[in-house]
Amino acid sequence: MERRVFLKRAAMGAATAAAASSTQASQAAPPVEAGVEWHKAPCRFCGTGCHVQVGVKEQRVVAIAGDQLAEVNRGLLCVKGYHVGLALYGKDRLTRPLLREKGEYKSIPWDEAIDRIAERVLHEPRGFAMYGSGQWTIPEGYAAQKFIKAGLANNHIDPNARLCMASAVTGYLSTYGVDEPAGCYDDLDRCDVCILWGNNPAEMHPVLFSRLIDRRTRGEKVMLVDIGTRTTRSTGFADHHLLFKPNTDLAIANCISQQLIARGTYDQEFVAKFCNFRADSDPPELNGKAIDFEEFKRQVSRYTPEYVSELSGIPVRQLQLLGDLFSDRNLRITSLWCMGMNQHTRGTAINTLVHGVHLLSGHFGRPGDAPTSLTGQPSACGTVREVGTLAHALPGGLLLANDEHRKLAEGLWNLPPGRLQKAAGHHTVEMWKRFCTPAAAGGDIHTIWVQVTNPGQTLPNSNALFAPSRKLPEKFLIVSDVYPTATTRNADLILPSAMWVEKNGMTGNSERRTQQWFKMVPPPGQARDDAWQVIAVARKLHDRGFAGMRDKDGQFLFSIRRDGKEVPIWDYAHYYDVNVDEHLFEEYRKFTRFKHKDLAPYAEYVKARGLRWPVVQQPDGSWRETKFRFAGFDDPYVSPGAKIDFYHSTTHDGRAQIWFRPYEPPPESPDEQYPFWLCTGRVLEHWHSGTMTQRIPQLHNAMPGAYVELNGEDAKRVGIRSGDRVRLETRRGALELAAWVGGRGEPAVGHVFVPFFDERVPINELTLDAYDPFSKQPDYKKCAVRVHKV
Amino acid sequence: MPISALIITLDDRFEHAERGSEHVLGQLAAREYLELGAVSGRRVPAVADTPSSEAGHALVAQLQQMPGVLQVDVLSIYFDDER
Repeated sequence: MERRVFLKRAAMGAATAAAASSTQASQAAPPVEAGVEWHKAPCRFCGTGCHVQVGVKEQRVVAIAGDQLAEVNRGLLCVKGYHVGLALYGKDRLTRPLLREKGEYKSIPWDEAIDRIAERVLHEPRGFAMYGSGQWTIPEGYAAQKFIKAGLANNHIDPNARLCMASAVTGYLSTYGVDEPAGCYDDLDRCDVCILWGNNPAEMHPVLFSRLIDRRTRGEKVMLVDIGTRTTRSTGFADHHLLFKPNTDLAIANCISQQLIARGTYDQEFVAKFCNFRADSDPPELNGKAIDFEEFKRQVSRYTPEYVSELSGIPVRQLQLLGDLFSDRNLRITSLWCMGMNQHTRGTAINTLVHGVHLLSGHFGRPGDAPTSLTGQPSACGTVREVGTLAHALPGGLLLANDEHRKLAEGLWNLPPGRLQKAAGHHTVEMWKRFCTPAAAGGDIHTIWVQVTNPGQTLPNSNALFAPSRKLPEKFLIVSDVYPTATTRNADLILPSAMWVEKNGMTGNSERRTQQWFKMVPPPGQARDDAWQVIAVARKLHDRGFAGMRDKDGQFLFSIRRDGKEVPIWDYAHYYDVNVDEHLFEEYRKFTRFKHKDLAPYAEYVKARGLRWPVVQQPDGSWRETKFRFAGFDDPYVSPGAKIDFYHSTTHDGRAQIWFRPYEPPPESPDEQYPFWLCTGRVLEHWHSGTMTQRIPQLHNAMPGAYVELNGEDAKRVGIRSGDRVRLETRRGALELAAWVGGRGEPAVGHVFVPFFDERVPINELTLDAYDPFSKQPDYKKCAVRVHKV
Repeated sequence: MPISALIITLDDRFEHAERGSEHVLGQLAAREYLELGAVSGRRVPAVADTPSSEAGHALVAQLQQMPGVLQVDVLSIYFDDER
């Protein structure tokens, strides 16, 4: 062999081995230790949907590793994710059903607990409600929804996600005609500019934030613009920080639109081909009324940088910067938001305005050009939004109010025609109001069954929306949970639940990625799956002759057959004889084609680290996910040849809607009596109401308790130093807590911030229950408070 | 006339999705001085046999700029024959 031939073959051998080994390295298994088996699962905590590898030994979770095969997090986890396994092992796990009698809790058998719940249903089925969660797995939420809507036929089921992302939903629906982001996390890998609209992803979605910021370490230029009402850890990475007065985000968005039109830099071709214009109608309806471009131009014209600077407190040059950025079609801009825009009495409005800025400027439909609402819970998207566990919804984006949709659902569920009710059930605030109102005064909800959430700590204005129900003897509160909480302590019946990898599960994250895991360890004591609990009650009602639990052929609503025989899944001893999750999912999956939210068969999710819908089968039998919706290069449902196609357009012409909505002040603002703004939120170490993370020693020790964060100038003025005991008081309630000045965040002058994770600091006794008129989502971010040193 | 071992990583991002990796591979295969090996995922092993080091550098730079190519890594260069 000639030498050169030999060298070329050697070079090819080396390159081939390196290409194959670098591919295999990304598939490396976690460390090997004797007796430890590793299994995949999405993390239990936030809506990012990181994948973990769970190390199990002798029926316990003993280790957690980041999953290198996961596209979301690529092996990385945040501090909560690394400790997620410990969430199962707090000392005070609920392990037995408990019934309260004469102020004391006594342990009762499951059969009796199920009987009690059935009795409450039979007392008056129309007054029995469920309050669920964005932490419900997809099968759990689906079972609960079918139980209430198909079984009890009353539609009184709503989730805690009403409190966190309902405005994102109405924003997407009224803009695109269908919910959920068009883009995905890949946008973070491609954007030149990322704009944070009132959110703090450095703490709330840290793995996603790292994905963005790490690009800078590779020499990429990524501009970060932080638009917010306080300085946070995210601000530290920002190139520009725009500090605005509460509610003036509405004006800021309009100001960008004003500049695009005044400068002539809006994307005329994109708008002409793909957009219509809308404004609020009278009376107000979600889809408003049509206006033309000239009317839109006229309405935004007063939102000049000078006017909006006066209103918002943001300097003119910073508002002009936003105009500069959106005017530049060479840049790819991703807008990210979460609670700052969603927990807003004008949440639908601000959502539509930010979508509108992207549409007007043509910053849409290319990777990196995306308006994206992030979610906080692991399955607010997958369960609440997609399964439809909302009082007005059906699975797959269908609506109870739509006659055709109800007919479709009745067909899929094999129900007698007319079983599903057209009128929406009570949304969250209304449900709890009626639960807190005596029956004689119109309080038509007599029982609420709470699963996987903690309303006693998280409902706004909880002195009005939760506490009064506990003084009404005719009201009955059932709580399925894993630990004692502010809610279980007030419950009439407590049911111990299995948690995370103690059961099979599926969830859907913020980028439309549906993920799956198998049960890995047993739950403690008598704790059982939430879905089983619902099915068991359904069967009890069926056995007692309750017609709602039978379909039109007389079959049990949750019937599963194997070899022609019904499997008694309502008996927990047989619940895992079959994969109930798979059966429920395959039934639910049939709904998902109607609004092009197609899901693949269950088996595909077993193999994958999630798939982003719509997932469409290819000619070769494989299943292809969709990263970028409405864009012709990737979305299989876009009309052939079209670059962009909003195929669920509310105007039925393939166009999205650019909205004009005016600035309005918030419903409650500081005054002489209550001179500060109160904002609430979260911290890195704790997730939601802290019931899991407070029991993980490493997380608890890192952040042992809630605090009130004050601006340094304010603190000096009122004579408060870090550690001082402070009293906060609003029109709704008061509490005392420690101050933190000069900590990780700083509110603007005249503002205070309190995280809500600490049960000992029930800040939601002070917050406002006013809500957005369309989404019914309350505003936890701004109300008036007074502050005194104790 | 150096011989370089390369790994060419293909870009599956949108501009190239409609054409697919086959198109990009076809373009790579047609390049002078370049021989492709068996593709592994998105990674293509290749050998560049160029008339000079400068030509080798230029080839790598051109490959980096090619639509559909995300990255080019040079694993090794045999340059014994260069004078």
